[in-house]
Amino acid sequence: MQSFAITMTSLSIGFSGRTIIDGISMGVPKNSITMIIGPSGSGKTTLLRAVNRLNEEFAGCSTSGTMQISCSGTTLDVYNDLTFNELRRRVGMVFQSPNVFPFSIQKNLLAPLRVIHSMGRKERYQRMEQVLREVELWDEVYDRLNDNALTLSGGQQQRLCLARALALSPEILLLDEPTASLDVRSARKIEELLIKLKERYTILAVSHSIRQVKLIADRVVILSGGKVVRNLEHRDFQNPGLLEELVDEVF
Amino acid sequence: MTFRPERILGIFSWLAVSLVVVPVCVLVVYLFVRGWPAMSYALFFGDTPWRAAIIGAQPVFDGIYPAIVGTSILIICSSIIAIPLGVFCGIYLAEYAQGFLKSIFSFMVDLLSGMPSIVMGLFGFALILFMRRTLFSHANTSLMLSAACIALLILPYLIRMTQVALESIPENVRLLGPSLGYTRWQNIVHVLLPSSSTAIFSGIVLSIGRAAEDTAVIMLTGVVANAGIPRALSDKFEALPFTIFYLTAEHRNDLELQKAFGSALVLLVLTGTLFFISYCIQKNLKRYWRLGE
Repeated sequence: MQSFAITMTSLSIGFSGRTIIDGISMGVPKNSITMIIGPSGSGKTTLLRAVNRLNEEFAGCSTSGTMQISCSGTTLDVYNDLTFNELRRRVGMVFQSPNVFPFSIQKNLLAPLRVIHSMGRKERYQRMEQVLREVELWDEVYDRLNDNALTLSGGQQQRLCLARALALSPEILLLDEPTASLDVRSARKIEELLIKLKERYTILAVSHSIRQVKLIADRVVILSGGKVVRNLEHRDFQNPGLLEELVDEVF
Repeated sequence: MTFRPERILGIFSWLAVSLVVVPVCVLVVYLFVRGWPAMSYALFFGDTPWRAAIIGAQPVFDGIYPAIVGTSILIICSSIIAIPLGVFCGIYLAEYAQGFLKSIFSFMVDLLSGMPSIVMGLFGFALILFMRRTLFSHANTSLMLSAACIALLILPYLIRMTQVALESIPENVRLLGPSLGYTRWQNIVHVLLPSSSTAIFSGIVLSIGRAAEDTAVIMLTGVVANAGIPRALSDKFEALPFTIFYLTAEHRNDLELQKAFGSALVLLVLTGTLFFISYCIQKNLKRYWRLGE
């Protein structure tokens, strides 16, 4: 039996009475990349943000149903067993456009470690180097860690965001179109990284790129009108033309 | 012919900037021309030796030194009261208040910002009268009362600037802290306030300027001519704007009017120095926020 890192049951989310996610039940397998695709307004980002309860930062958000995450062998109810902050420390997130703090490169990584984990100085620096190496950014920035993070290229900024999320040792990674604002080369780099990272993390990502989905996804969820219309395993969408056909049908 | 509206808009923008910049330059130059000749030892200390004046050993009767001290203490005291209060009220309105409560508080802040300064002075004066008739028969107008009333006067600037600065932070930056597991307070302290520091400091600078120049409030709450250097916050005091006012209103010859211009120039330099200090603090804080761990 497949082991799920995230399990949603009858999950519905609305904003000010308008339903965005409509009774979704699905599971996200551990140590795999599950990608959500669907037309604009189908609820992809809302579904992603439901996992770390980020939707609830907005006024008028109402949620029903259950969501469980499995972390370090324990299954926890997202709504009852964890506070917002405990949950978000276990579930890292990278946004669509590179979202760095307007501070130095090193502060982007060191500050959350100090604020969240109260880590010692030496430990923080070690962790920073470790995650920067993990996202293959260390060689590009080691001699300018005090420069403003905004001086990095879009691709580098996005890798810095990924490093920042990884630094906090999450078990699940949520990626909201992480390559949408990047050039092809930078996007490839992120994709290669994600393939490596899935060995250690469960990745749930939103994407608009069929090429990307075919390249890195282990599972695809097609969303339309706030409902899951298709749930595809890797072997299904590798059939030539099948995914394109489905997308044409849904979009 | 699509360039035309753009060109007209450009001309109007230049015109508007010129209409602001030219009078400011004329004003500053005029102040220098009229005030510079008055710059002398006597303008500051009269006949009193400066060492004795500074340590308060001898009173200064004919110089503006006590007024400089009075205004400086007034600005510092009112800033100490108003800045934390204003910034925290702004944080509350932007980050915590919702619905009806937010509307009510916002309305009150608007009401306070529309309050003429003389009304604020009258309020302070009435408060002292009330206190004298009730529990504190020795209560009197003083530097502390003036500072409290000035603080009330500048509060709306600080509240609004902080609120608007926080509310204008884009959603992606706002969500960054919570997505990393920051608590709401950690997000405010470590992300939102550093991101909006420039606008908040603009509010602080604006309010310092307002505190330095207001005359109506202090006239009713503690300022007097020739009070000397205040030795306690419960003392009456002298202040530069009031000195400029009475020197101008009661001048009998051109020399006294020149003294008023000299005092105005000193007030300008004093506020300019305070702005510069705020700018340095802001720059250092920004550097700390950018580089600190």
